[in-house]
Parts: sequence; C-alpha cells; structure tokens
Amino acid sequence: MFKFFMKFFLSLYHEILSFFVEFDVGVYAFKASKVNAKELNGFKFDNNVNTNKIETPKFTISTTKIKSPMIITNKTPSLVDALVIRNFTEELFKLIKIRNSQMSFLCIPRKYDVYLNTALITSSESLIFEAKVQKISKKEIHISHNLKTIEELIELSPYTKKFPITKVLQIPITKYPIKREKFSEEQLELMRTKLAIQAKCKKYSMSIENIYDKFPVGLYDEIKLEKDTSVSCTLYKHPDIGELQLLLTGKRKYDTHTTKAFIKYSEIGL
Amino acid sequence: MSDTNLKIGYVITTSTKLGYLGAILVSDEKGFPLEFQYTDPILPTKLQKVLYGNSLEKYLKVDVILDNLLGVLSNKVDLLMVKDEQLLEYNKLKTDMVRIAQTSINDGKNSAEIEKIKDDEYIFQYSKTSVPVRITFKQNVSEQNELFEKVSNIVKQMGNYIDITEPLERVQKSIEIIIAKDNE
Repeated sequence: MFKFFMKFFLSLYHEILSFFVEFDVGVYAFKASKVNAKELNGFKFDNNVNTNKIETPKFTISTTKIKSPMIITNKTPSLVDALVIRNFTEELFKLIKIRNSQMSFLCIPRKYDVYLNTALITSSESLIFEAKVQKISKKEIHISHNLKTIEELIELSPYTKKFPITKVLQIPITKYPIKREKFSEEQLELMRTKLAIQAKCKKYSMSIENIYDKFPVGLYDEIKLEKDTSVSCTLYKHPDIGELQLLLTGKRKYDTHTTKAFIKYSEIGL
Repeated sequence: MSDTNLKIGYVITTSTKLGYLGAILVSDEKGFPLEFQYTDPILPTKLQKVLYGNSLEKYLKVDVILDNLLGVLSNKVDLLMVKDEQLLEYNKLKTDMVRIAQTSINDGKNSAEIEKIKDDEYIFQYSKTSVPVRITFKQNVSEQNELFEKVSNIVKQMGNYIDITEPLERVQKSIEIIIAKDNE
C-alpha cells in the first residue's frame, strides 16, 4: 500500500513538474529516454561524465540564477563546438553554445532530477523557446574539454546595429507648406515676382501655390514636389550651408504650368 | 560642418509584428546625421508576458531598448528628443531628455513665443514660419529653470535651419526600411 502511494505521488510530482517546465518555456518537452544525438541537432553526448559531479575547474563558479530568458551576446566570435557547463552547489546551470552564429542553445536544468529546457535563439535574436529535452540521463551528458567562456546577459537584451550614415542620407526628408498668412502682402508680391522671373511670365500671370521654409543654400538635394503638396528632398553628403531660403511653388494662370523658385530670407526681410 | 558642435539624439521605440525595436539618430543642429543605431526586434516570450504583465512594454522600451541604444552611442549628445512619452521614465540618463511633438496650431504667432500648458509641458513657437512644437520635460520646470533655458536655446537654434521634429520622421522611415529588409 505504501509503495502504491509512493508511486502515485511520485508520478503526480513529475506530472506537476512537467507542467511547470512546459509553462516556463511555453512549448513542448519530451522524455530523456527519447533523446539521442540526432534529436539534439547534431549535438553529441558523451557518457564519460557523471552529471552529479560535473567538474569545470576552468570556470568561475557563479551563483547567478536565471530570472528571465537569456540572450548570449556574440562577442566571442570563435565559439567552439563546446558545451559550457557550470556546476552550482544547489542548482545546476548549463549553457550550451554551438559554433554556428545562427543558432545557440540554452539549457536550464532544474534542481529536481536533471531537467533540461532548451532555448533556441535564432539569428534574429528573437527569444523563441523550443524545449527539446525535459529529462536526460547522466550517461547521455557530454562535456567537451575544449571549453571557452562566452559573455552572457541575464536580462533580455537586443543586439544593436549601426545603420550607415550614407543610407540615412538617402532617406527622403519631407517638408510641408507653411501658411501664407505668415507673410505680408509685400512679401507675397516679392515671392510672386521671383516665381514670374523663373516662369518667364508677367507677375500678374503668376499665382503662388505653396511656400516651404528652411531651405538653406547647399543643404538639400533632389528636391521633388509630391502629389500631396509636400516636398521631398535628401541631404547633400558634404553640405556647404549658406543663407536660408524659402522654396516657392507657383502656377502660370494661363497654362497652369508649375514653377518652383527660391527666395532668400534676406530678400523679403525675414 | 557644424559651427557649434551641438549634438541632438532623436529616439523612437516602436512595436512591430517582428517585435519591439528602437532606433536613435544623432544629428547636428542642422539635422545632418552623425550616427544612427538601432536594435534588432525583441519578441517577448510567453513567460515574459506573464511576468511583466502590463509593464512589459515599458520595460522593453525603456529599460531594454533605450538603455541599450544609449549604451552603444559613440557620440555624446547634448539633448535627447523622444517621440514616446514613456521614454521619459528612463532614470539612468545623464543627458537631458524631452519629449517633442508637433502641434496642429498654425496661427502665425510671433517668433519665440512660449506658452505653458502644464508644469512640465510647454508649447514653443521657435520661429515665425514654423508650426509650434509641444515639449514635455521629465519633471516640472519653470521658465527660469536652467534646463528650460537650455532646451529653449537648442530648439531656437535648430529651428532656424530645420523643423525640429523632422529628424524623428527620418528615424521612423529608417525603422520601416529596416523592417522591410528583415521581411525580405
């Protein structure tokens, strides 16, 4: 009777643990008996090691516990095909990294038995958890003797990358028209004159369409009028910034031909 | 190219279908880019969603993304301008930070007019032709405050050359390019 209850409770215990393991990583797990090298994506286990007494003398023993999923920073480019194992007194913590910049495995054994949860971190550094192993026997654990430390961050941490400035310079800058009410009649007349000179017509044949401010000489390149009244432009790679100007767009009244012209702030007393 | 060597950092953090990511553009006062850094998207796990709950977004944007972006910057910025008010909660910052947003007010007010909205928020009409911008500080500031004067001067100085919210649009467009590239 006692044996029956013990068996029952042990079974229940494992079921509960399995549930938490699954909950932890949000994915599936399977029993160690099914584990073989193939299922571990080519990772081979060596039965020379007793997992209860994993000796890692070259490593600093740390009591750091995992609070959240971990990203392994790739600051050690020459990672070997190694299994990095740290042996804690109370909790066994294992970190496995395979020589493949596209992939790394993170194993988080629990105190109870030897449970392994494997996290797969893909090249996009998203934390996608795929528990490969829930339980594994001592005989199936292998530790490479060619161990190297890698940097690890206990907290979730993204990779940062530089975006080349040359690419930033290619990103169009959008400018929107400003209200003509900001200008006096005299200023608008001067603008119309400027547009008329550009369009080679009389001033009274010209109407101002839009006014765009802050167009310093020598800062913007590839100035294009967009359909929605905005203007797009890019920055010069090596700008030689001069006086501030307004960009004006206008239409000839008799043929609706669109013209653009610049007028310096100083020309209209701004 | 800059006369004053003023460096402004523009930060955007956003949530996309690829995950949370952020980017920072450092420009001079004329809007010319000096440095651009961005993070790869972070996709929180189910566990993290459960653990962090409602504070997940703030944790990722502020403590993870912004913290990382500032950590890798090679330029020291004079002022950080952010789009998302949540980022003002970052408390490890040694550089001053404000949230900046364009207003819909366009009534041709006089240049350099300042209007107090709240104790920590002001509207700046930084040049005669510009649309006013709304600036939110991390904490309450008065118009006599040193930080207020610093921000006011920077905004006015930059406002002579660019629409000061424009670089944020560039950061947004860059993020869109990065996401599109990742989707390829």
